[in-house]
Formats: sequence, C-alpha cells, structure tokens
Amino acid sequence: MENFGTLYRFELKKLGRKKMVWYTFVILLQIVIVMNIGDLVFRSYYDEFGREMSTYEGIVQRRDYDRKLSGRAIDDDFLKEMQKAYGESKVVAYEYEEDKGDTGLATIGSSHISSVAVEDGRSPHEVVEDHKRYRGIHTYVWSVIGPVAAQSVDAAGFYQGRRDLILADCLEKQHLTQAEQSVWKKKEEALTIPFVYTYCEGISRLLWHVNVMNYLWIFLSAICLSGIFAQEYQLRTDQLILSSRYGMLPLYLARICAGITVVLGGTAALYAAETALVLGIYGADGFFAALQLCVWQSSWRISIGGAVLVSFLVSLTAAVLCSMITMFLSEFFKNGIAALSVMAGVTLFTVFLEIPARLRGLSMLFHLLPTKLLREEGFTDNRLYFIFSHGFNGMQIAPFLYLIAAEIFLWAGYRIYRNRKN
Amino acid sequence: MREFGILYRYELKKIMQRKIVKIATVIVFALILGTVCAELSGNYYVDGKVYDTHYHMMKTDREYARKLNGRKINQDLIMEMQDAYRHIPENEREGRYSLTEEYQDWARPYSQIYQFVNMVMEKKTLSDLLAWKADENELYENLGRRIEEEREDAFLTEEEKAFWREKEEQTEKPYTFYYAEGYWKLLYSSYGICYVLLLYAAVCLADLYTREHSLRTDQLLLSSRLGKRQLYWAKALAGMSFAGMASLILIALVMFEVLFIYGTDGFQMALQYAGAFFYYSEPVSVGTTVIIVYALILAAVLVTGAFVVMLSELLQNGTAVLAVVFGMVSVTMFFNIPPQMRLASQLYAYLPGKLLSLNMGGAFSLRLVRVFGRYLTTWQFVPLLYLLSGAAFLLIGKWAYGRYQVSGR
Amino acid sequence: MVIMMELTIDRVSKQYKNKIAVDRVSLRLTKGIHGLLGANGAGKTTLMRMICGILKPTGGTITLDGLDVQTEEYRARLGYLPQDFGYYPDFTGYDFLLYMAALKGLRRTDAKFRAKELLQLVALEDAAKKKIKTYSGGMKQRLGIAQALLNRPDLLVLDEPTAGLDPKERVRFRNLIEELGENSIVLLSTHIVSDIEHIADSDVIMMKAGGLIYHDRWDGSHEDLEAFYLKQFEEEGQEVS
Repeated sequence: MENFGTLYRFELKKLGRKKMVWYTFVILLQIVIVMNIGDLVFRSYYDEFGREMSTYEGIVQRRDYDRKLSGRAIDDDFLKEMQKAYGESKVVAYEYEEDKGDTGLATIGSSHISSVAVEDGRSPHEVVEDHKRYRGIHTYVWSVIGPVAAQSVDAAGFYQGRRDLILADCLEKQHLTQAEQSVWKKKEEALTIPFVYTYCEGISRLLWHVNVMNYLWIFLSAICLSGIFAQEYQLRTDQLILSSRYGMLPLYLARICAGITVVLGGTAALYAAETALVLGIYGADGFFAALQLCVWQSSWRISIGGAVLVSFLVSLTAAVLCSMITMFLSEFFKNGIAALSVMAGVTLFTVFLEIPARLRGLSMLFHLLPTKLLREEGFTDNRLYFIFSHGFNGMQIAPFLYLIAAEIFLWAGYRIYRNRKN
Repeated sequence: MREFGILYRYELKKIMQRKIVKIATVIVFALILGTVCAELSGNYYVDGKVYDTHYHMMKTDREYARKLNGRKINQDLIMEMQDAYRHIPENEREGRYSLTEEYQDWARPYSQIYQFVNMVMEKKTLSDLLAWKADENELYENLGRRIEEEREDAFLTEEEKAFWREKEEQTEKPYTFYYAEGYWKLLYSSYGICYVLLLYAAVCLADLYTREHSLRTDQLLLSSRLGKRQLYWAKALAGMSFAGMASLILIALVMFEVLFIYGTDGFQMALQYAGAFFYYSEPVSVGTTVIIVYALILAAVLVTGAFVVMLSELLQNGTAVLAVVFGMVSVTMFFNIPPQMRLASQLYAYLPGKLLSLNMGGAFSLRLVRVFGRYLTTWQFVPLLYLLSGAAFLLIGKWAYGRYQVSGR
Repeated sequence: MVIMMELTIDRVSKQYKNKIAVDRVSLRLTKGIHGLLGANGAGKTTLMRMICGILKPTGGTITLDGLDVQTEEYRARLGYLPQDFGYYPDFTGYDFLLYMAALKGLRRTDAKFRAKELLQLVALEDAAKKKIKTYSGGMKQRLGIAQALLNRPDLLVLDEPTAGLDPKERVRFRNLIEELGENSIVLLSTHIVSDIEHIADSDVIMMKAGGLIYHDRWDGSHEDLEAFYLKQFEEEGQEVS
C-alpha cells in the first residue's frame, strides 16, 4: 500500500506526542522497580538469631546456602539429611526474653527461635546453622506435602504424595474427564524423577510476577490506546480524514499497527526492566531447572526458564489482543473514557470473579483470559481444549486464539470505522 | 440560593443524561446485586455427583446455628462440640469428614463453634483438636496471647497497646454466640463493593469539567454571570451527590438482598468472634460494624468524587483522570507497604481502596491517631480525614477552574 | 436614573510565549454597533475573549461602567456568542436556553418567558423541543444568538455571528442588531464586510497584527467599506484583489 509507511510513522508520532503515553509508561516502570526493590530498601530482615540485616543481605545469605545444594537429586539420602537437620530439634517454647548477651539471641517475635530444646546434642547455634543449610529443600518439600509429612517422608512417598495431591486437586477443582486424566498421567510418567534441586529464586520470581506484569501491560494498552480513534471524533478531524484518499483502510491499518507497536514496545521494555532487576538481585540460576521446583503442581516437562519464555510469548500475543480490543472499543464508543472504563473494569472484575469448574465450558473459556491464564495456574490447569481430537492446554492454544480474536476485532472495528461516513 | 439550586438540578440532569453514566449504573447495579449472593446458586458436587444445593446447605447451617443462639462459648459448649465431632470415625477424620453421615448427624450443628475454637487454638487437624482437653480458660488465654502477638506485629507503641488492653477488658468473655451470617456476608462483601463503587464514581465524574472544554461550551459558561463560581460548586455538588446517592441506593439494595436471604438475626454478635477480627478489642457488634463499614464506603465514594473533580480540572483530560484513579485503585489492590514503615503504611491504609480491606491494615487496624489528646481508631479518624481532604480537593479544583483560560482554539 | 454605558479597554495586551496576539489596544465603546474587522490572526477573537473575561490579559484593564471584567456584576451585563461555540447534544433548544438563563441568573419564570420570546425571535419555536444534535448549522447559530440575548445584555459580543446563516437570515440578523444597538454596546466581528456596512451608524474597528489600525464611525459617505478595508491590508508592492 502506498504511503502506508508514512501513515504508520505519523500515527506513531501522534501517540508519541501524547504526554499520557509517556507518563503511563514511566509510572508503570516505577511500579516494576518498586515491586522488586521495595522490600530491599524498606524492609529489614531478622535472621534466626535475631540479628537485624538488610533484606538484600538476607537474600544473599539464603542464596549462598541454597546454591550449595544445587545439583543434588531429591532422593532418599537428601531427604534424610534434611529431616535430620530439622527433625529432632523441636522448638518447645517461644519465650519473650531479653537479649541473652553471648548467645546473641534476642527478642524479636514468635517466629524466631529464642529457646530451643534439642534432643540430639546439638547446640542452638548448630541447629540454626543446619536449618539455614537445608532451608531451601525443606521449604520446597514442606510446600508440596506439608510440614508433618516433610519430617518423615522418603523419596517414593514424596513423589507419590505429590501426584496424589495433584490428582485430588484435578478431580475436585478441575473436574478432569477420563481422557484428560490419562493425558495427565502420561505427562507425569514422562517427568524425570528424582527432581534435581537447584537454586532458582530469580527465575522463579519472573514466573510468579507474570500475574502482576499482566495488569501493567493491560493498563498500558487501555490508557494509551483508549483515545486513539475516539479523539479523531472529538477533535472533528474525522471528517477530513475519512474524506481523504487513504483515509479508510490504509489509515485504519496504519493506526492499528502503530497502537500495537507502542503497546508491544512498552510491554517488552517493562519485561526487560523486570528481568534485569530480578536476575540482578537474585541471580539467573535455575533457568534449566525443572518447572516442578517452582510450580510443584505442574506436570509440564519444561524448564523454569522455558516456562518464563512461554509466558512472555503468550503475554505478547495477549498484548496484541488487548491492544486490538481497546482500539475496537475506542472506535465503537467514540469515547476514550468509555473504552478505558470497559477495559480496566473488566480487568479488575476478573480479579474477583471465578467461574466454578463444574460449568466446564464457561470456566475453560474464562481461564483463557490473559489475567487468568498468565499466572502459575496456567501451568497447572490440566483441562484440555480438543481440536481435531488433539488435546491442547491453555498455554498452548491461547496464542492462536488471541491472534484469531484480535483479527476478528480488527475487522469488526473496521466495519464501524468505514460506516462512520454514514 | 435559588439560582444555585437551579444550576445544581441542571448539572445533575447533564450527568444523568450521559450514556456512559446510564450504562455504568446499570452494569454496576446488575453486577453487585447479581453476584453478592451468587455462591448460593447451583449445586454442590461430590465426586461429580450432585450432593445438595448451596442454598439448601446454607439454610441447614442456618437452622443449626440458630439453635445455638444466645449460648456462651464456654466449657460446656466446647465439650459438647468435641463430643459431637468425636462421632466422626477416626479413620475419616483426616479426609473429607464433612461427607460422613456422622458429621451430618452430629457434628454439623456445632460447625461454627468448631471453627471458632480451631481458629483460636490453631490446631492443624481435627484429631489434634479432639485430642486437646477442652479448657475454656486456656481458650481465652490463647486468644489473649494471639491478640498480644498481633499487637507486636503491628509495631504499636506502648500507649496504643495500653489503649487496646483497656478495651479488651471491656469485652465480655466468654463470647455469646449468635447466628449472624447475613452480617458476616455483608462485611466480607464490602471490599469488592467498595472497589466497584470507587471505579463507578470515577467513570461517572471523570469528564465532569473536561467535557465542557471538549464540547466548547466552556466559553459560554465562563462568560456567564454564575459561570465562574456558583457553577463550579453546583457541578461538584451534583457530581458528588449523584455518586453518593447511587452508592447509597445500591448499598441499601445489597443489605436488603443479603439480609432477606440470610436473615437479620445476630446484629449483636461480637465482632471478635470472626477469624478476620479476633485481634480487634473494641467491644463492638458485627451489626454495628456493618453500619460503620458501609458508611465508610459512602465516605470513600464522596472523597473519591471530590478527588476526581479536582483532577478533572487539573489534568483537563478525562482519560487521564480515569487512568489515575484506576491506577491508584489497582496499586492498593496489589501492593502493601511494610508495617515497619509506620507512617507510610498508616497513611496508605487510609486510601479508600485500602481502608476497606478489613484486616490489620484497614479500617480495623490497631494503629491509633492522636487528635486533641484523644486516641481515635482508624474508622473514627478517617471520616474526619476524608472531610478535610475532600474540602481541600474541591478548593484546589476551584482554584484550577478559576485559572482556566480559553485559548489555543 | 440614566445608566452610562461605556466599555473602556485600556492598553490591553495579550502575549504568548513567542507571539503578541493583542498589542496595547485602547478603546472606549459606547452604545451602538461596533464592527471589528481584521485578517485571520489579527487578534480579534483574542480581544473578544478578553472582553468576555474568559482570557486574562497580560497587561491593561477592561471595565464596563467602572466594573472590572473579572467581576460577576460585569458578566451579569454581558452577552457573548463565541465563534464555533459548543452545545449539549442531548439538550433540546428550549432546555439549553433555560440552562443558560440559569447561568445568567434569571429567575425561572422570567427565564421561561424570555426563552420562548427569543426562540420566536430567531425562528426556532418549531424546533424548540427537538434535540440540538438534530439542528442544522444555521439553527445552531440562531440558538447561539438567542442565548446571548437572554439577559438583555448591555454589552453584546458577537464573534462571527452570521457564519452559517443564509442571506435571508443574515438580513434579519442585521435588523435585529440595529435594534439592539440602540440600547446596548454591540461589538461584532465578521469577515463579511457587508454585515457592518449595511448597519446604519456603526463604528468600524480594524485590527492588524494585534494592534488597532483604524477606529472611526462608518456613515456610508466614505468609499466602499470593503475596498477601504482591503486597502488597509495591502502589502508593500502587492495589490490585494
């Protein structure tokens, strides 16, 4: 199309000239920064001895200990070591005492050991040191099978317990069909057992933060693009534009492309900032670690880094869809406030709303929304979308559906745009 | 005054004529009234089969709970509860024991007492709770200990702790149980309702002033006799009163719906009975708390209205106004300020969205404010704060409105 | 009591960052019609906005019988029809006039009576109950004229009032203005020179590049106003046809 490039550049320029676009991006960037370093700057951390340290020192300390465990298979030996470190030292009393001087034990609160009865001859310091050493694996095992079982389980029990919990969850919360259950079982059997423990705090955080990042780029899209068509109507420039030679399809597509470019660019920049901060603070270890170390309920045979990349790619397609929907609403309502209200309102509404799994079709459709899919649960939902008798899970099918939906909104929006002349 | 009244009515008319306001009103009303009791719809399934309807389950629990109305949660009642739960076979106690016949026939009538005792004693399993030797004194001592821990975690000053200890002494123990599900429901729904109403106020009022600029009616308005002073106040009042009235009507309808379905009994049930409020030593009933909470929602809507009025005139852009409000609401939903940062976290807790989070950091925070030598709790202080803030917002908006000049067209 | 009617514009200027839109303009206007002519960008609309109090001058003062332009009492005596003014699409013509009447401080009964009177005057009675968004451009302009007259203003400022009116409507408008000029100060800016030329005993004020270049009575004994007007804007070495 002739002049498409020129039109596209001018539309980008128009968006770039809007102060609100820049203010929004800067504020969202600040949110990403505060989200990651806020705790480091504003919180204090008290270790098991009651010593105050900065949160960053706490992170570094934990990281150093956890790294020493990296590479170990979570097998019987490893679990026994962990249980020995935690097992026999029962904390029998939390006492509020004054600083004990030499022991360095101080009163901080009930979460800190100020009085420990040990039955295996270790001193409180040794107990605490052992706790620190095996904290990473203990936290992981505890998160999977609970504190009571963590103290006595063997490897076989651990992995079976994990499967049983996932199956119970699948049946109760996801209402899996027989076909889905058998697919899930095959996936579980394909996992490499035993898992290899790896320090993966940084890369895991990238995955955990995807949910919050969702809201940021959705708002970016809603705020920056809600007026993209509406303002032409309000400024009364639509009369000039629609009567010009390239004012219909070429301009419409140029504007759409410019809008998507801005949102994708902003999203990528936010993710880049997030990645740099998280990996800078916590380290990039664990990229190739099994996803199960981060999301234990997942049966995906993929690394955490792979899951992060998948989430990022799905986010980008979701960003295209949200941009398209916002621009459609902008044309449909011819009112930026209405478009923004709908986008932001629906987004926030999905935070509160949950559709019971027994309404299977509706629930599965609802869980394809970016705000529901792009989170850890996106990797634990075992319900399948069958196309030509092949089952796909949400993360696999969503990008295609998002792009198809975006195209539908594209042409629906064009119909309204074209009919404006009437 | 008469002129002001006429202007006010016209401004109200302009607001109500807007399509976006009409649509937003219908959506908000339908959304809240349609979902506030939605969990009672449909069936409860066990292993894929219909077990009961949610509504019938609620009615059953209500009947059981009503039989315990007026009874003190004391040694006798605790032991009765334990005896009832002991009917559940031992091998079922760690699984889905609520599906057993024994639970349905014996234990279910005492489920609310079980929940309370378990909340206080923090037993991990049913077996642990049944193994505990029921002791009313131990129960309330444990409660007291946990309350003290919450005060530590809230980084209270010694004076604040003393204030709450004094209040704690005024609360009657043992607690008297009343079925009050309607009021608990209203309380736990208030958070979501508040958010929706804040956003609704923002949507309706975001372009209250900016629209005059975009429609180019500002020239006529500002050159008219009343256009620079009375009109501003008439608009602001119309906007805030519209949002306030709509919110009040909706709140009334929600209360009617919930109390009609769940029942109006239990107004006098102690607030501290609930797990979310066990630490709150003010001797206040759940019914009174509901009134306080919904009054706070109304206040939050009004102050948000004033804030939007100010922003509308400062930013001259309705979309920007809405973006700011949505952004603030979203931030308060997802982020917290660590309690160690006492002043910042306390101020943050006063923001309309955060205030209704109804937990340690919200309207029922343990932190106090000293005003003229008297300690005020958060829910007592906030209306005053909102009144002053609202007035400040409106005055700033007026200043911006007065400075506006028609140029560049 | 005879009310003096004098609009005093004393060395009024309006400066933007890199432009002087109005440059130390001084005028004294009394009852009658005052036509304001000038090329686009001469500063006519800027001057009128300052006279209506919706734009603050950078320097100088504007008073009406001693009342400062920023006072409510000044605005009570003002009627203004802006160039390209806005309206509320969902209001009817009648509603719009009642709303403007309320803004001008008219009592309800007076407002109703006056609105009906003016709708008749501008030939909009049949369309009074229809929404403004259904009006043609000319109808909207007539509605704008009507709202400017609601409070029987002593000072009537009309910016391009005949834009959008057909020739017949323009003649009616001129007659109306002549009548109004008997009892009020009417300041009227237009590009249609004949609008002023055909109004008896009108003043002509010409502006160029923010300043006044001409201010005198135009009684028809002069040459053709349009020729005279064009002569004032002849550039050096160029004839303006």
